[in-house]
Amino acid sequence: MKVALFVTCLIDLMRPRVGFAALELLTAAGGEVEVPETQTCCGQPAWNSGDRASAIRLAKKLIAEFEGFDYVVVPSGSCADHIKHEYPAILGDEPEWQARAVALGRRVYELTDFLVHVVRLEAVPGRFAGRVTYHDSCTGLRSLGIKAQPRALLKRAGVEVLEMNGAEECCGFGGTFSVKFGEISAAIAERKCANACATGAAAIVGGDLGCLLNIEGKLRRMGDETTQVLHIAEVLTAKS
Amino acid sequence: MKSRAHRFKENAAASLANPVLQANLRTAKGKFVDKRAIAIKELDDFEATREAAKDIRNRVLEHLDLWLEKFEEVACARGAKVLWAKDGEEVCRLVVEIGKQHGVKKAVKSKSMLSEEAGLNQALEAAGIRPVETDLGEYILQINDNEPPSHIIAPVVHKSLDEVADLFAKTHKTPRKTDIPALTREAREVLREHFLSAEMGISGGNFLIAETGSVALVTNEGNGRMVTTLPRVHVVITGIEKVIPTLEDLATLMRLLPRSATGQSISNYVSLLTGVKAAGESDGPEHLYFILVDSGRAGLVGSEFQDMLRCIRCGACMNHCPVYQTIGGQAYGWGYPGPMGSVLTPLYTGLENALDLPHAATLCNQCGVVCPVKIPLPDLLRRLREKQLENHLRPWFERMALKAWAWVAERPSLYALATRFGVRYLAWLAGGQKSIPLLGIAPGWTQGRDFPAPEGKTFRELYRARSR
Amino acid sequence: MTSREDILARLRARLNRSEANAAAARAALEATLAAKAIGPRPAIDTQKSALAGRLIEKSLAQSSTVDCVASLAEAPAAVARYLATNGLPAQAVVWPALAALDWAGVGLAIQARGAVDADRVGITGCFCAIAETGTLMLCSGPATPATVSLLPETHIALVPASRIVPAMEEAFALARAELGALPRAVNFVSGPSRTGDIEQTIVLGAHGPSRVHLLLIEGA
Repeated sequence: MKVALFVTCLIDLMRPRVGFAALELLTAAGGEVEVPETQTCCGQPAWNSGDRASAIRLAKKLIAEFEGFDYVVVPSGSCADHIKHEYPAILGDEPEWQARAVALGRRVYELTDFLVHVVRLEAVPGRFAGRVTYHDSCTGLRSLGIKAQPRALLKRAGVEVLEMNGAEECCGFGGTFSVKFGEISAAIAERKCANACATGAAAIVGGDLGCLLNIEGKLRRMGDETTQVLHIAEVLTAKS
Repeated sequence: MKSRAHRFKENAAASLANPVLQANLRTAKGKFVDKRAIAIKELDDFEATREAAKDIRNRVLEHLDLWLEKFEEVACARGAKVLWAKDGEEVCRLVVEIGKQHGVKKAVKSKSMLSEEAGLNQALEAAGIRPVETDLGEYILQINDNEPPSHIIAPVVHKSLDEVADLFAKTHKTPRKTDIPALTREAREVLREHFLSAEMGISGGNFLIAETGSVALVTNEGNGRMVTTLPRVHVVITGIEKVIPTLEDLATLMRLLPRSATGQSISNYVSLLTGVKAAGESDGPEHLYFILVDSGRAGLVGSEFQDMLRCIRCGACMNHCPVYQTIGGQAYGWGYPGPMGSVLTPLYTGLENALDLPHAATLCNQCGVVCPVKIPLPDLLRRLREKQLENHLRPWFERMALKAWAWVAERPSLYALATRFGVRYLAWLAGGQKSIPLLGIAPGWTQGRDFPAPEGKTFRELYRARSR
Repeated sequence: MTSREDILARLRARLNRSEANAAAARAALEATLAAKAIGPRPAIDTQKSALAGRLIEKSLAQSSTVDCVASLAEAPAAVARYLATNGLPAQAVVWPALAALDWAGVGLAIQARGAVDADRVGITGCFCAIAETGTLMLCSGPATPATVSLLPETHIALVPASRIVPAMEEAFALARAELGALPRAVNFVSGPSRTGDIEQTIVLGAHGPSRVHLLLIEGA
């Protein structure tokens, strides 16, 4: 089983430790994991901003880099969905590329989905002390059905999940939305933080770094310096 | 209706700064969302019903010319007159002409979004015909100096009881009351007089049924029934996209519309109106007019935006939208707020007049999953963004930033170098702290929150170092 | 060019309409109209007693009230009891179609005509009633004026048990079979008129009746 990790640009830049945590989990699952070195960005920001030409070029680049693997695992529901479901549409005018996109899409998995449904990871390597609340990121939840998978893994790691009100509601990130409409975005994030904090959890956990940076930024601005904001891969590999 | 959509950012900022509005939005949100969630469970197969509704709407749109001709033929055979309007201006002209022809001094109106689009009330007033809105919400807006609605089915969802109490006391010259049933009673009494004295009733239409030549009107208050039963003349104003084939199709759509809109299994009144008063009937209009309005709709047929024409105006997309829940409907600047409005406003009023709307969404797809006719709203918003870029309507800086990012991302070694410096710069900005309070390159982000500091090195650097 | 021609011409252009494809599309349109295909719908127990039970349950859920009598002849007395219990006057406007019942025998002063603003109680029958949602289907006509169920504050509807159908689809089939074409107004009524416009607080009696009372006639 040859597994490729698509790290995602946000993790590459902002939270390398999430990338290493994902690697550790995939290795624990018994895979031969590779991280193709030329990978950059899946092109989602371009596509969502209406820049079709750039989205097409970045899609082709990623397909060429990753189509040789049995599985491609992505520690982000949003990026995984972009590759899996948007690439065929983005490459709709080029049947040959579209076919390659569809073929690759079948082998692309969001990290927790891969761990639960493909490799059926039972022995989670980490131990995390403290109760957490889980934010369901929009694209993973609504397009990939990521809901039970992270909770199952947290349970296997012995972590108690305190469900917040509106766990499935958007945190207000929305990619470039968070910068273009900062005030609205931050106001939405405030609701998310209030719901999360009301659970009394020590950490807010999620599967998409964009949401997590948004939530963390809002929490800190609100003066909350203690609630941790963690990617699920970090929790599942925690050594505490 | 004059669009204020080009001022979206200012409108939104004003909404965020309005504590009364913020409180009202919080109250409304829970009620709509929770009630819908319960109501759709009554359907054994909600997803299959949505799929069927989508098919019904698509079947008509794919041959809209023929379905409209069919509807016209059947409706006329039942004694209705079918008129066509290219735009809002023509709607106003036609209604005023009908009013004059029948000696109308007062027109009672049941909710019609198209009449909002067309600015019909102003045109009627100018022609000496008094328009009276009779939906309680619309009435409240009308007596508040024609305030624009903030929601397509709950037009005063942004208003508090206190505001309504003040308005009623001022307008009706009655003692101020803060009891909602008493206020409703007062409106009933005031409006009953208007129903009884108006010569013309104006309504929208939820659906036009080709099989029978009928209009279907869905209301809870009963004002739709009043407006179409008591006056001598009834004018239906609807968009050309509202045709459905059969009564069975109406039954399917009615399983979705009230549940999606207000969380009711069915609205209190569903009226099917066909033709004019029959011989021997004591009530009903003697004249029935349908005004079928284009106003930009024909241009969407056969286009990449055709899916939007399936919309049945339930409001579920806005009720579930995190942005709508945060700023309310008036900020969107035209009659249609929320995700459906962010698609329709630029398409009907011009891309360049609503530049912010397609971007004012997180693409969370909550709207897409609740839409009863499966309109891919986030996808349509994204296509509008693409159209803006194609038409050179985005700011220079944004276009350059996008291009630069993509250009670098296509070149792995350059990307590695650029990100290496980029994260070091950000880490330096953070100065050892966990977050950056003010980010010069993306000031929008730090308006209301901090920017978490990066670790300081990129994954690819660390991975390469580790592999060696 | 008239607006009609203009709009249709643009639609035809956008849909690539031609003489050739119009014929096929028209045939498909007529086939759709003839097929009257029924969409997915909730399963409903269609036994007679189950239909009545569901109608009652759903009507109560809509804030209607319900009473049952064995035969049509007993209806006037049940109406009189309802009016007395609710402190309403013993007078009402009634559908001409129901004028022949013995209203005077139970002390009710009825007038068989369309309703006016001053009428406080309106008595109607129904074309049929729909169990799925607890809905009355009222068809307008000279003997069944629409105003009777609309203008008075209190609406009482006589519902023969034999006229309860599972869903809207059956109601439409019945209308086609018995009436041919639809009357001027078909009104589906589900409970009292209501509004939630002020702070999403439901208030009954917005513009239509604030009370809807169903009188189920078991033997009719």
